[in-house]
Amino acid sequence: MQQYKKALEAIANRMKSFLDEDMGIEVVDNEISIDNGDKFNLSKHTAIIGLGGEVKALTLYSFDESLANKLVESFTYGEITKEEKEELLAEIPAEVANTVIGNAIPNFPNAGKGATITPPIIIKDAQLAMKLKNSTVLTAMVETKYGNALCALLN
Amino acid sequence: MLNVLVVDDSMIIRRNLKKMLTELGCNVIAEAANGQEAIELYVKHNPDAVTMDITMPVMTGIEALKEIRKNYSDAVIIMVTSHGQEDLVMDAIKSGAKGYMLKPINIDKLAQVFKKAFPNMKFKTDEELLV
Repeated sequence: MQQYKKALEAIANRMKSFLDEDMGIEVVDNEISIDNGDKFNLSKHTAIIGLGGEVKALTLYSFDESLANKLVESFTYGEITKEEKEELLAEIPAEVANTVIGNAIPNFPNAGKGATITPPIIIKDAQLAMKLKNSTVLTAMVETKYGNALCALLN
Repeated sequence: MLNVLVVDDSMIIRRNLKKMLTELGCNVIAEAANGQEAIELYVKHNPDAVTMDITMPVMTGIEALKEIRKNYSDAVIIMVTSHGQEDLVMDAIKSGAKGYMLKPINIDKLAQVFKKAFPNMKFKTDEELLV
């Protein structure tokens, strides 16, 4: 359990610094707390990445609508056309998730040695609540001025 | 002008790299979304440089790097990835990558890595872009 907690802490802390420092999106609550439960809510802006190596798990990243919109603005280089906006909005959770987990790996247990990640999968238009039995489910919420980013780890 | 092949499974990253490389004065000759496409487009276009993501479906960037370098030993391939693990960086460099850039990407990082890979080339810098 401890190694999963450490991995999620690394992911949540990188999510926080990525939003705040790299994207210029103000994080309103600096405390990251890891919760242990069997259910959580996902928004329609969600991506999943599989994690292999010492810590084997599924990781999920879910962004509130207003935060996803702000991320499109901050992450995308140059001017965004109307035609591009929808496609960028659909892809943004995957690219943020990929950047955050990849950057967080050196802070995983055993310095992330041998850790592997899968390409991200986007969950399109699926607003849902996940309830899982007999699984390790850890969640961490990063709160920003534009809404929340949920990071979750499932095993 | 350098002809560059951009390889990444993310549409956003391909788009960002294309815009940044164009601003630096390069020409993005083609784009690929996985390692297999990258090999095919490398053979077709014989670009001066490649930006290559590592974690991609179908074929990873490291596999594509090794395959391209087998037949084109002078290929200039710059790895662009979010994966911060040192062993992966070493593997890419040992396999012949000319540079390594950690995501998130910005135009300064990109200019720096291209200047290092092509020390005799002139790239449009921020100052030049402002003129």
